Amino acid sequence: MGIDIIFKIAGVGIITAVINNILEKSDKKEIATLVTLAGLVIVLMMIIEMLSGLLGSLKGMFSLY
Amino acid sequence: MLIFKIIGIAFIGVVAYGFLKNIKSDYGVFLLLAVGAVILILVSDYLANAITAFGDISTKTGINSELFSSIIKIVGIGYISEYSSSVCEDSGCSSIGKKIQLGAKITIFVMSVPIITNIMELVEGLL
Repeated sequence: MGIDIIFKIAGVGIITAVINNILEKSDKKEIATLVTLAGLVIVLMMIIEMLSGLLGSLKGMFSLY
Repeated sequence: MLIFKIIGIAFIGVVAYGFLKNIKSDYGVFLLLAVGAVILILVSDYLANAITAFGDISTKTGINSELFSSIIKIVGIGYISEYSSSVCEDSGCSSIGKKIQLGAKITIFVMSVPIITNIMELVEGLL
């Protein structure tokens, strides 16, 4: 767990933007929306995993129950 | 040193945020969350060492462990609420961030009641 997650998010954003552009140019708006949604869900999953780890460790550290 | 690592990560995050905001602004919030979480995870190991050291001191001096743990809890609430409210403010919801801070203040006030009653009991014992 480290800085690579920042690059991962940036990469997913760039890739989805490119795919979105290509799909919108070829008149496939519905698939473009789906691609955006899928990218958002992927990033959300990564973030939620990391955040739950962080909050859990802080909770254990400060004995906040 | 740790602080240079944190600064480096923050600058990389700022650059990536500016980059992402132009091409796909939905991902900006996730990037903010990730940068904050990465920095906090880096720091948390050091923090754990310091907290265990303080716990050792409190057990050696015989301070009531309940009081010590409530002080540590208050510190933790302060850190977590600061992080989450700043994320809210950065993503354009400063009112929700203010509400988080208000909730944290109220929680801290409620948790400080046993400490104050302890002081009162101490004063009562002296008189």
